[in-house]
Amino acid sequence: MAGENALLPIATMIHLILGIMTIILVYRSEKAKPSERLAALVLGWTFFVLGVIFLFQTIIDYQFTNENITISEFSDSFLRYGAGSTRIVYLSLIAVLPLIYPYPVFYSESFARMGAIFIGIFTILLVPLWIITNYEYSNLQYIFFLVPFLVWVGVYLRYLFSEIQGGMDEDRTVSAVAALLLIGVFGEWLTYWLGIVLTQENHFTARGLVGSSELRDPTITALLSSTMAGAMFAVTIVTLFLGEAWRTKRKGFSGVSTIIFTFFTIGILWFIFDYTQMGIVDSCVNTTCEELNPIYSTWYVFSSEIIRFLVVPLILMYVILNFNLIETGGDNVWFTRIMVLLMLLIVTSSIIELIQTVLPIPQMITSALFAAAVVVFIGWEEKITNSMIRQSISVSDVLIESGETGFLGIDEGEYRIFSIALGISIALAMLISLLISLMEITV
Amino acid sequence: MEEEIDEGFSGIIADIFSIRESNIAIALTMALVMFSGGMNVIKWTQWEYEVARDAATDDSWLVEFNVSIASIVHEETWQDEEKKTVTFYMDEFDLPEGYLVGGIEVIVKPDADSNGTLIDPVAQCDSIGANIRNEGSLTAQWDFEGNVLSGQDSSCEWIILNLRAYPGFDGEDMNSSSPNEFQALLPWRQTGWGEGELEVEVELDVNTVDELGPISNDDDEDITIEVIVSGFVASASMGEQ
Repeated sequence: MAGENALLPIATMIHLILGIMTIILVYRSEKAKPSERLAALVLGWTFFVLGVIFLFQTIIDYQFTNENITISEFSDSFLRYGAGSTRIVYLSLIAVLPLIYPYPVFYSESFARMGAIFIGIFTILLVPLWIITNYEYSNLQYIFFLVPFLVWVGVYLRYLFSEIQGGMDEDRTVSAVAALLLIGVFGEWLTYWLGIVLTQENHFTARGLVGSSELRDPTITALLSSTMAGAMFAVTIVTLFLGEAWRTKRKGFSGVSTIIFTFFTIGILWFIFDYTQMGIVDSCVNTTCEELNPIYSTWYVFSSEIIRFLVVPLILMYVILNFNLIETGGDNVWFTRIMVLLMLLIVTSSIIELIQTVLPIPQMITSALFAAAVVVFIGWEEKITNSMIRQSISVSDVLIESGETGFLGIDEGEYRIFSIALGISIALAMLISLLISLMEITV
Repeated sequence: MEEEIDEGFSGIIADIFSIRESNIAIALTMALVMFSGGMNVIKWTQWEYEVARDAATDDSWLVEFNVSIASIVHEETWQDEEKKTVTFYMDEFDLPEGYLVGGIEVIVKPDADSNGTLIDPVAQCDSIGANIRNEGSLTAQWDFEGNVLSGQDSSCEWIILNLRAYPGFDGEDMNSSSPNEFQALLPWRQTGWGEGELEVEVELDVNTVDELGPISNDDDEDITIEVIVSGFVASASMGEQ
């Protein structure tokens, strides 16, 4: 196991706070478009569930770093089962979101109810199944990623073409949201695209397989699932890159295209750096696992981990605020401002802390930097918040105005049903995990 | 009030796939996924999966030790009630290149004539005590229960002392459960054991007879100390024996 991860506790806090605040804001946003409000609710729960996953990882990380737990104790512990079960809820949520947003593929007033049933069923089925089979087939759950891939890539391309070829500028809103959601959900995996395309990433899969062999035996089913998922992630960023390159040529740079180009470039850098470390990566298979180079590990923290723990929530929050998924005006203004400021402060402090772990900067200087950031954020609080919600374009408005979809009315009670069902699903996942870990598996 | 449209699933799909060029791009994307995924799958199934599975799965290995012996003999005369420490420098033992020190055997041999001869038929065996001293100058398994670090004899027998230098080494071939040859041999490739100085302390107590004889003045003893160092190099082969 790796050493203690400094970003994990921060990521836990960020995701839990964002999740709770988003859910509260959804219930306070009665004037928001119902389908978008529901999407915000799904995203809020996604934040919350991710926070729970990171909480488990933080505890696991702490236990291993302080040698409080051995691999064999961990193998049938609540910590392992709890983290695995929460991941099922997360993936189910990710499979539900694309069906309602940005394009309401599943155009139904009872979508919230159906989505809740879908998540509940998969939680009850997969949680015990994965535990009993010792997570040897759990990679099959990557199949859930097919939904966002198929829907969002399809929607992205469809509205990219209608914007550029059809001259419908407002369609950019739909393609931009689809692209941002793809980045938000597939996150750090996108940065390994070149390694996946050139099959170099298989070496890392082999290393991971040997590294986790004390916990579970490798199965071809699990490996093929993760391989196909990897291909999906790689093709996603290649598609987005080609699309944005074409759009940039016609329409010029945009914030979304800059983000995509950055991810694409990081993917090339990752491939090069990975290639230089192949001897160490293959050592697990050929001889015995060697520790990765510290500089390489630092690069991993500053690219992949920052993307996973800090950039992804920022992007998803941007989608929520900027595309009117929730009401940011009226009584919600102060709430929104608190959320934005809190997020920015946490991100700033964690980045400063990260820099301090790498560069020998005196604490006095980093404290001064943090204080400066606080002053800037407070002084420009209104500007920063406004820039986050500046565009304030609703995807629903675009689709309704173009006559592609109608207004989807969702009863107020449906949101409550969804939240209650999610709460029950998480509680059930925890309960099953706890009971099985206490009973011990004897089959 | 905004208009509610009851659009069926097929209508929605038709909307998404309403642009021909976009459909071609989507089809290309899907083909790319199949191609990239297929490439990875082929590589996995053809080669990497087996290798990785082998690496993740323990096999039985027979670890065999090729042992080589090197020895140094030290001969000296002890006076009655004399205690002396003899130092042996471990780098003076001539082991083949690549061999690691596994164990050390010290044999203290009294003079063969001390139990009576034609010249001095009433001579008795002297009392000899020997210790391998742990002065911190030799890297070895000092706490190993099987070590024999002290011995005493007054019947003209050899005193045999043992010290294990390499952890776990007893010279016997053994079975190991490891994913590959490298890891099977990993415990047997540590350097640094059996280095330094071996200190053997020998004390003599002469036994004399108060009767007249040809040579009644027996107050010393020739003692030979032989140090035998077992060096080894390990090799591993698949399967148990």
